[in-house]
Amino acid sequence: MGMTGMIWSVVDGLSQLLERNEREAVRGDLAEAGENAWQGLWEMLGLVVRRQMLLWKNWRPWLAAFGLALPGSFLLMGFSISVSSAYQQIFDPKITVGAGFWLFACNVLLLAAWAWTGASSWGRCRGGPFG
Amino acid sequence: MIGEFEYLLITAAARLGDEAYGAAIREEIAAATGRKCSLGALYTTVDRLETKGFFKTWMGDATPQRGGRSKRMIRVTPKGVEAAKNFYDAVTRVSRGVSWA
Repeated sequence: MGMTGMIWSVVDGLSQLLERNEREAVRGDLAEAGENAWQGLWEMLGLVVRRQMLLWKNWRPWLAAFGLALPGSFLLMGFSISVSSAYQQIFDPKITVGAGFWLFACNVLLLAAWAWTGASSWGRCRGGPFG
Repeated sequence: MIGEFEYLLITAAARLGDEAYGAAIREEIAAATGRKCSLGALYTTVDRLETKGFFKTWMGDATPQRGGRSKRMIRVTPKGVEAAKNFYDAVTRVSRGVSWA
């Protein structure tokens, strides 16, 4: 794949951030206008950035970011450290497997559950397809 | 009152009539102003005008010229015509007695 092909692939990738109909219309407009790959990339980037900026005019992403994602990240960080230390305890040759294993398994489950809950809440709050 | 770019878009779409869609409007604006507007500015403004009830949009046919992709067709509503007329009247009024030649 040449440089031009690679840039168009990036343009296609960026266009995935747009709604289906808009993606269709914009890619068609670029093809019809005969824009080169760099112009196409610039145009697509401009549109995607504007769309993303517009999302932040709503209160939902702010709530999702600072009300859920930020506190959630601290929570997940705490669980990650806990899982990591439990893992170290289990696989320490001086400690026998058994007692620490269930604590480790519970921590892993808890971490996964919180990660899922956080991402799901973020998706719902942001109004996106996730969750 | 609408802004200058909104006025340009409404006027270009009105001029193109049944053939008004993104690429055609861009060309129309470039021909009139000598500057090509970005697709980002175009589509975000189209959305805003549609939200305000000045435009109605729908997905049109795909053409081979566009790589088989559909056009987003645009029609100016009576409310949009009224808004553009008000803008034009205001510019005409404020320009009265002023010569730019």
